[in-house]
Amino acid sequence: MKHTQLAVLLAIAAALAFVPNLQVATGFPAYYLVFAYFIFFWIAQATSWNILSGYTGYFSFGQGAFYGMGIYASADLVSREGVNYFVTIPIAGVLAALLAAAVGALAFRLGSLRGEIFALLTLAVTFTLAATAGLSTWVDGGQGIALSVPAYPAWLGEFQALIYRLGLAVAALAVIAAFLIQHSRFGWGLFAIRDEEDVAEELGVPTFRYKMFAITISGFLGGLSGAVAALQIGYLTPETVFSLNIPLLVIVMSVLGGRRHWLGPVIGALLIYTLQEQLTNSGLERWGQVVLGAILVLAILFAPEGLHARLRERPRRALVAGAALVVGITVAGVAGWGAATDWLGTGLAAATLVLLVGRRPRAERRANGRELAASPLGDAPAP
Amino acid sequence: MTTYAQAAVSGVMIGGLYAVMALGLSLTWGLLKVINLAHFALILASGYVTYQLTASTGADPLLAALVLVPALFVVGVAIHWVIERFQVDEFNSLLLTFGLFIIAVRLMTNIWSADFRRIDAAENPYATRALFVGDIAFPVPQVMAFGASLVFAAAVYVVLRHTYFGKALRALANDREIAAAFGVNDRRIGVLTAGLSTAMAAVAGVLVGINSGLFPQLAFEWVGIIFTVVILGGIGNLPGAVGAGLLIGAVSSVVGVAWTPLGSPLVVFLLLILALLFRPNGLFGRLGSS
Repeated sequence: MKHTQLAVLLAIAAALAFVPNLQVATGFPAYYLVFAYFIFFWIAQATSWNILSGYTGYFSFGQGAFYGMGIYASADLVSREGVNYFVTIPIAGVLAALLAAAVGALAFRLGSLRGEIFALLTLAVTFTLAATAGLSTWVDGGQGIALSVPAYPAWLGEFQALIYRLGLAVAALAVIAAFLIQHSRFGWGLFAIRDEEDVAEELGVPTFRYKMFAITISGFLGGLSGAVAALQIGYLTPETVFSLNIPLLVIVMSVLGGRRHWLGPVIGALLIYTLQEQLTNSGLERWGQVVLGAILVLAILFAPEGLHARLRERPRRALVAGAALVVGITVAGVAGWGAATDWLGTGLAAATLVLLVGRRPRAERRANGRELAASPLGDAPAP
Repeated sequence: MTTYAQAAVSGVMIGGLYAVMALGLSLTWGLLKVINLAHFALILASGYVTYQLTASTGADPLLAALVLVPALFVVGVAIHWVIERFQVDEFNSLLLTFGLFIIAVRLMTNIWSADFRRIDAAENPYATRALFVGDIAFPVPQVMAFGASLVFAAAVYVVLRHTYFGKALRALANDREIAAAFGVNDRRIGVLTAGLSTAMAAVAGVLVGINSGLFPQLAFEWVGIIFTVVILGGIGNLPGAVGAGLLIGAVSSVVGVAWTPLGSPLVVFLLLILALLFRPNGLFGRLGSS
């Protein structure tokens, strides 16, 4: 089962790598390669976030720190020190991993760091990095920093194709890492930490070591993806790099998709980015963040466990959602609504709606209520 | 020397504003276990409404509080009702209010644009005045913020020590289950606390409107500073929040003069990291810990 799934994943990634060749052959607009790159970027970032925050339950607002570390490591090494861009990608990953490990070493050594304190710590680290980037003349110095396209072998194709393949490689690495972690002893340990950390520790899960692994892997993937983004963006300022957009989007994506499964962030990234692109194309980017915020609020209220868990628990509803997706795409395709993202977006939106509509089943809610009433401590924090 | 003294004084005054902004956040976090990120958006919204009312009617900006305080009380109660109704836990409340925060800031950007807005000097009788003690100036808007923080601190202290509401609040913060078992109506106290917290955001917003210009990004800039104040003051400890607010104001102002204005956020965030790591209960302890 595990090996079949892994083989399927690798096959999908390998097949996707040939899409730019297809683009050259058929001549469909290169815009779709850029669109796909952004999907890959968000899959990588959301998966990186999920390995730390979804798997271990240690909620982070600090994805921007790993991303920013990666982006500036790459951009500065290229433009200030003249290092080859492709060499800076792994360096950026390692530097972001070191930053993550430092944060982890500080945070996890101190037992008093409860959930929301950890979340604030990651936010504070991001703010500190942003302030440092603004101050340091080597990092940014308030001038912004520009990155030109490096020389690369011609067989990699156009710039869009290069960016697409780099994005795909990082996303594939992230998803496969998340998949392997989930199906390993390490992954079970992380899930145990999320559910009941003290019990896990008692039962012999090396919680400190596991949390350190999780945050370091998360930082590494976030940094790699940041280095690729540096090339794609081309011009950087601390305000844009360390904005709350990165943490906001990875959180919305993972919460909507589901935090307890490797596929959750992938579903979330696909849905949210397509939706955002849709809004921008319709000239509604002013409302983009309003919609994102609303999705986050609705997801927390109606489906806190995420869409992926919903799909598994309610196969009939999943079937209806799938049907809605197919119908949406077909109808839109027959009606000839132009751009491919249009019908993809319509179908995805319809399917999501089907999944989100309706409350939790009544029996489940009643069980929750009873459990709360019967528990002597209720929702009071553990002593 | 006068430069540093002046920096410290105006820092402490601005710190009073930070304190007023932090009070509501600290209270809901300490008592209701809800980290209300929407608080920052509500402060900014109050600032904009103050600006708008003054600009369109020419009324005294302070009068905006008459509208805003009851309105935001209702908003706070509504948010609280949703959180209770859906049994949102502490983590998810952070996410929920993060969503509300993002929505609100974007809506404000759509209404008032991303540009800098400021109450016109002609309609803001407080903006240009200052009191002098020797060589040191005390701008009136800052003195008002400072005064408000002291009044709030004193009021909160009296309420917590000497009223039924205050005693019930402390009991609930200490142990919600036991307090409820002894007949404290935790639901009613909860609703009241949620409403009062956001009402304090209204007061903070009016003071911000009088003190400085407004732009949407401001809400994000406050997040770091105000969380530092809440953590250093001790979560739920309101007099502590006032003390921490004045301290943070002075430190960031002096750093801004002695080093560079870009340096003050760095120092504040480093303080926040240190506080989170080593004093998560703050300099003065949490609500209910004594």
